[in-house]
Amino acid sequence: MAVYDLEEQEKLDDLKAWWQQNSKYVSAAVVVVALVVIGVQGWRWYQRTQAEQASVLYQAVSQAVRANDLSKAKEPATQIVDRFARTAYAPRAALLYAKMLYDGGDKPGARAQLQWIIDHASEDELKAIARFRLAQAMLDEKQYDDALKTLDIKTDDAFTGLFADLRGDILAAMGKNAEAKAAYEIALAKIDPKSPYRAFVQVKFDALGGAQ
Amino acid sequence: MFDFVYRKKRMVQVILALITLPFAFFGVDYYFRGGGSASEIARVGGETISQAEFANAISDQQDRMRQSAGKDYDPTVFSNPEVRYSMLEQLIGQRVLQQQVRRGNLRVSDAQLAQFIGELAPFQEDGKFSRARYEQLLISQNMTPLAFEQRVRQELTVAPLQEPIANGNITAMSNVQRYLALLDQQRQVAVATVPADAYLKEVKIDDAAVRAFYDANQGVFQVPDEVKIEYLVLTPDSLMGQITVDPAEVKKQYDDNVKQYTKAEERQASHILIAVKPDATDADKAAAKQKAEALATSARKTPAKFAELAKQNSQDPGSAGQGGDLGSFARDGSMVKPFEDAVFSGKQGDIVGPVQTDFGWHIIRITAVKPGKTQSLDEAKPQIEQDLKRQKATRKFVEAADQFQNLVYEQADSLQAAAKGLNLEVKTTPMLTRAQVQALAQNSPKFVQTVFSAESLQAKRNTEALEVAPNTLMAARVIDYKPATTRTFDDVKVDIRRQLERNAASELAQKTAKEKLALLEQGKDAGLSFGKPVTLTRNQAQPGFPPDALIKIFQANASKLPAYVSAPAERGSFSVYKVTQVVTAPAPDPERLKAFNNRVGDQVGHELFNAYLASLKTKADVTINQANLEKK
Repeated sequence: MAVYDLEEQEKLDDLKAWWQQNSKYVSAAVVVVALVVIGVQGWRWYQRTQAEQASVLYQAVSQAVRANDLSKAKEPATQIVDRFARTAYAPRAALLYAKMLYDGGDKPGARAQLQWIIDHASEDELKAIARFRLAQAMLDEKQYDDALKTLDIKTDDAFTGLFADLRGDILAAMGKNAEAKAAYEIALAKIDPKSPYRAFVQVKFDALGGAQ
Repeated sequence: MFDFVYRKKRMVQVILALITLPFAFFGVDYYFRGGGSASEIARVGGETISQAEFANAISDQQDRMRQSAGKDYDPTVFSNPEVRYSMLEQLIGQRVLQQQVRRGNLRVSDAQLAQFIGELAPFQEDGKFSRARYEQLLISQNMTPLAFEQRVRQELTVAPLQEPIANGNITAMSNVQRYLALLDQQRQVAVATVPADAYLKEVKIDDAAVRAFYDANQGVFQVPDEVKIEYLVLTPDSLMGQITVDPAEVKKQYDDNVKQYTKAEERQASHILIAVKPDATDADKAAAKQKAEALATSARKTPAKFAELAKQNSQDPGSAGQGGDLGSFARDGSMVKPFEDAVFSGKQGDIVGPVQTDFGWHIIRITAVKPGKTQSLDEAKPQIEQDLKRQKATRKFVEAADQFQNLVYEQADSLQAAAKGLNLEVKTTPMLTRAQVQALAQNSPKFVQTVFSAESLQAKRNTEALEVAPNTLMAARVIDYKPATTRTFDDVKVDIRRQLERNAASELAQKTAKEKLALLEQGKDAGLSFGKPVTLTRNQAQPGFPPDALIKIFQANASKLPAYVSAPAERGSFSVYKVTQVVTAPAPDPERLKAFNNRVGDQVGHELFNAYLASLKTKADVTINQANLEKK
């Protein structure tokens, strides 16, 4: 064993005393830091594995869309919503599945998918898109008030034109021509002048008497 | 940009897409980040898009256009500010999508990637993925499997951001039908025209007005300056003629890359399968073997009846119907190993087996041998020579460019020295305006400035060598110059008077038309004689009904007929249109309605995706460094 002179011995004793008093806190701090690191890494790992599994399910839905095979979409689309609801894949798979259901004639099923996105998705854009499609489905079933209510939210300005256009369609279907015209006017102002879609809106606007 | 993922069934399109699809630039950003604001062209969500990255994107796009447009390719479009801006917008769009990929933890595993590629039709042979075919196709596109896989992975990773939004649109059929009815609607319209010519007599234009117009519009009467030049163009292509390729080099290129010029041997085979389940009992196994051997013996006895035997006995449902035929395949692992070995060990017409595999016992007949073919050196030579020449010319260009610059500078009063030194041809133009000179020089504004600079015009010295487009140098010398002039008053006064008279008459015609329109709208007689009503369709202009008039006619409020509108007609005249009847289109047939519904759905989907991108961009707080964007 090493031999220390007095001064060193004293320092060592101080250190020991300090350790005896504070060892608890130091250990606690080390444990907390370790836990945080493990927690963060674990969370990342969890997110990654969730995403990986959800990706496989999404791919299956997407493949079913391309093959136009509704029966093949059901299983993965249900699973992804049940088990991986918080991944970015879930609302996207639901959008695809809703379209397949709608085209396949299962309109309530399609609407349930869209409603799920509106209630559960974390991205505002996806919620807006789901609302837009839900309102289309409602318009087709002449549920005009519900359709208008569905569109009645604040969206990013990028969606304003399309929402106004659809609102115009609903109002026109209700026979409210003046209001429809006002809505189309907003759509015309908001939709990119270079977009070919603008011509569609223009025709609908003109049909209501256009600008006099 | 993601489209090709969805078109797996159509080989041609996939291959085209391979060429034309822009890379998504994944990962590139890491190398360019933090490059300082000097080279920054845009900032997206805290990340930088550097000028180098932008330049890369442009040159990639140029390459793609060169390949797809061929002769019609015009590189100058990339100096157009609008094009540059939209290219940058595209880059920014890609960047926000990448950021979204990271945020959403989007990923594609190796297994998913392999599955996707394995199912792409162009890489399949006889319904199965063929590695040989895969590599061969990629080589023919100058692409390595690694690069291709990376690109497909990028596309697959980012596809969930686009696919559900752009392709998943739901449209209300009733609404689409209403819209289609609007498009199909016809209107019966009669026209009466108030001719401008009728008012020409009433118009008086005095000399002072003509003079005043001339003085106020000097710019209109300018004749621009013109220049006659001789010039030289240096490109890698212009060096091709001087480049020789050593036969030894051709041979080396051929030897080093012989695989590129080789097609592997393929064989066609038929088989009879006696299936053995993995969990079969020993007795079953022995019985199967015995049966297989018996079949092999009878097949050898009468090889011609092999197909019949297969039809009756083979337990491979996929091939039994075709007499056991499996089509042709290369030795690339597309068949199980023992089977493949057996097929490639015999010769044409042989009956081989029984051979055991995991499926059971096979009796095989080798029906055709298509030997592998390697293009001979002579066959491949012209292509190799051309490729090598082009490579060398591109390399030599750098050196030649220096020489070119020096020569035009050193002997400044003639282009002959440079032409001789680099074996180029001096070309001479007729008198050209600035715009024509710009068109001549790949649309380079800098070239025009230089040619029309005082130094060049007065001293008639060579201009410096300018890079008017990537890998294209030009130098010119002015031979003749005609300065800009203004046409004299006497020269143009008759024209001015005629123009002013016509304008005034047109104004009178318009005024009259308006007055008559007002009378008609009040239900009074305006003294106009309308022609015979014509049935019109939107978007179908015809004589007397120009597009502007059609728009107004279909905008006319049809709740009360007749309705009246007016619009300018030819030669300054004005027309009044009377809408007498609205003809509602018959209900469309279901097929057409469905097709139209899909079209509208696609359009709306496209709009939704653009809105999605725009929203992401807003959130990413995009700023563009305008000065750096304009720099070239």
